[in-house]
Amino acid sequence: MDDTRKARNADLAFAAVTIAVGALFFFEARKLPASRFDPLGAGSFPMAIAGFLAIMGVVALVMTLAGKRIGAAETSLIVGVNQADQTAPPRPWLAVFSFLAVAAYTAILQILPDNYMWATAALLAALGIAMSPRDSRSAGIALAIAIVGAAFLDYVFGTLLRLPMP
Amino acid sequence: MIDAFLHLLQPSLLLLMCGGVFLGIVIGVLPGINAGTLLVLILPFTFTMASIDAVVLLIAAFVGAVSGGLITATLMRIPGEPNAIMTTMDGFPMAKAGHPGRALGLGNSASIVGGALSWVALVMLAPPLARVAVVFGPWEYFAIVCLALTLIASLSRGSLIKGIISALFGMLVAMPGLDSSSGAQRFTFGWVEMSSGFELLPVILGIFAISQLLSDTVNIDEQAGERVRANMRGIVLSLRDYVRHGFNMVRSSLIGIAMGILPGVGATIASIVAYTTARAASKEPEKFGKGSEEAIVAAESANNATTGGTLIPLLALGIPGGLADSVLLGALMVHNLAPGPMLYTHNPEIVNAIVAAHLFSHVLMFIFMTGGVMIFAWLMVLERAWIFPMVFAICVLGAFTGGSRVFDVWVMLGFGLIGYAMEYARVPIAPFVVGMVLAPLAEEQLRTGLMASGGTFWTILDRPIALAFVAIAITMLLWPLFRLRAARA
Repeated sequence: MDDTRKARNADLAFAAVTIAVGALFFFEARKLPASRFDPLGAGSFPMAIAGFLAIMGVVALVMTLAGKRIGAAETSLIVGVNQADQTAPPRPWLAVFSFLAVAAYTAILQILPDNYMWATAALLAALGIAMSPRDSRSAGIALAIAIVGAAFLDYVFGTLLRLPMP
Repeated sequence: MIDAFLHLLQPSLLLLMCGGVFLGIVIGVLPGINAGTLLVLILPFTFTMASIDAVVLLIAAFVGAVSGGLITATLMRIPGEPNAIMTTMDGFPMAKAGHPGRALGLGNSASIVGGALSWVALVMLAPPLARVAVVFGPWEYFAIVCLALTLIASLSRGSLIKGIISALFGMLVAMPGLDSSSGAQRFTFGWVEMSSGFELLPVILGIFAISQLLSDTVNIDEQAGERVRANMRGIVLSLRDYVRHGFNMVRSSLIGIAMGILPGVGATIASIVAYTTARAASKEPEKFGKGSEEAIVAAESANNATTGGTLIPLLALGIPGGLADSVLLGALMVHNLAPGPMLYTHNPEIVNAIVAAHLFSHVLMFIFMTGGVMIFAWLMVLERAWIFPMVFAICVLGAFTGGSRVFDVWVMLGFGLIGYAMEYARVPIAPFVVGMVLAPLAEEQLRTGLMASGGTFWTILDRPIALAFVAIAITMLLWPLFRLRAARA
C-alpha cells in the first residue's frame, strides 16, 4: 500500500473514531438530569463538547472522502515516531512485550499487594534483559540494575518519602 | 523578591535546585526523555515536600532539561530534547570541525542570556497581567479559556482539525466523575472507581511518558552515528563574543519569549523561527547548516527564552501553554495552589519562589554546563536498556502514589496506548493535555456566569474584554478559511 493511501486510511479511521467517541459521550450526556437552580446542569457542557467533537469528526470524514488531507502535526512530541533517517530496524514486538510486562506487573501488585520489591525486581530484570543485547555481560548488568533499582525505589518512596506503596 | 532570592540560598533549597538542574541536564542529555516527562516523573517525589520546595525543584528541573539537549545536539547530532533540533544543524558541524568547546560555549552563553531576558519579561509582564486579571469575571475567564484552547489547537502547526479534536477529546476526559454542582455522576459507566473521575497525573503519565517510552522502545536499537569528543577549549566566551552576538541573542530571546507566551507554540517552534530569522538577517547566510555561530546562538537563546515566556500566562492567568507547564500547573494544584491572579494575592511567597528559582536555575545551569560538560558528555554512553525499565517502574509508582489506587495505574496504561495511537496518527498531544486541564475551569466559569445572568448568554455583549477574547478565538478558527479564499482569489 502506498503512503498516500495509507495516510488516507489513517485519516478515515481517525475521523470514524472521533465521530464514535463524540456520539457516545453526547448520548450519555443527554441522560444526565437537569438542575432546577443551575441553567447549565450536569449534561449541557459535556454535550456541547461531545457534539462539537462529532461535528469535527464529520468534517474530517467529508474532507478525507473528498480527497483532501486533514493534515498532520508537524512536530511529534515523541522522539522517534516517524523518524525519516532510521539506522536500525524498529522492534515493535519489544514495545508490545514491555507494555504487557508492565500490565502483568500491575495485575500482580493488585492481586498480591506487599510484594512490591520482588515484583519490581522481576519487572526490571525482564525488561532489562529483553532490551539489552543477547550476551551474558548485558544480562548480568540488567540483573544487577534490577536488584539495585527495586531496592532503591522501595527505599526512596516507601521509607524515605513515606509514600503509599502498591 | 530579594527575600525570595535570600530564601533560596538556604542549604536545603540550594541543594534541591542543584539536584533539579543536574537531573534536568542529565535528562536533556539522554535522548528520548524530555522536559515534560521529567516533570511528570519528578512530581510523585514532591508529594511529601513543602509547596515551595516542590515548585523550586520542578522549575530547576524544567530549566535544566530545556538546556541539556545542547550537549547531545552538539556532540552526537541527536537532539536530546526536541527543542535542540536546530542546534544540531550547526553545533555538530562546528564540533566536528574541531571546535566542540566553542560550540558548547556559544550555546551555553546564548542559553543564559535567553533565560535571563525571559526572567526580566516574567518579572515585568506577569504582575501587571495578574492585576488586570483580578477584575476578570466568569465570562472573561470562560472567554480566555476558549481563546487559549483555540490558540493551542490552531498554533500546533500541521492540522487545525486534529488540534481542535485533540483539545475537545482532552476536555471530554476531564468530564467523568461527580458533578460538583448537581451531585450527578457523569460518564462513570457503572464503575465505582470512576466516581472521582480521571486523576490528572495518571492521564499525563500515560499519554506522555508511557507513549514516549513505547515509541522509544520500538526504536531502541537506534545508534548514534558519529560522536565527537568533548573538550573545554573555547567554552568560556570573551566579552567581545558577547558584543558580537549581542543583537542576535536579544532578538532571538525576544522571539523565544513571545513564542513562550503563546499557547501551544513552545521551544521547538521558537528555535526554528529564531534560526530562520537569524539566517534571513545574516551577512553570511551560506554558513548556516555548516557550523554557523549565529545559528547556534539564535536557536539556544530562543529555546531558553521560552521558559520565562511560558510562565507568564501560567502564573498570571492560570493558563498553561504547553505540556511542561500543564505539568507545572498540575503540580501546583497537587499542592493545593491555584495558579492565576489570586496566587499573587494569596501566595506571593510561592510566586516569588518560582520567579527567583527561574533565574537561579539558569545561573546554576550555566555553571554546571560550563564546568561539568565532560561529565555530562560521559553520560551519553548510558544504554537505554539500563534506563527505560526504571522509568517504566517510576511511572507505575507515580500513577499509584497520587490516589493510592491500582486503578490509576490501569488508567495510565490505557492512556499510554491512546497517546501512542495519537502520536502515530500525528494528532498533537499538547492540546489534549491543556484541554483536560482547562475544561473544569471553563465549565465552572460558564456555570457561574450563566447563574449570575439568569441563564442568558447575551450578557457577554456587555463585557468588552470577554467579547474581544471570543472574537480573537473565532478569527483564529476561521483564519485558514480566509487564507484559502485569499489564495483562490
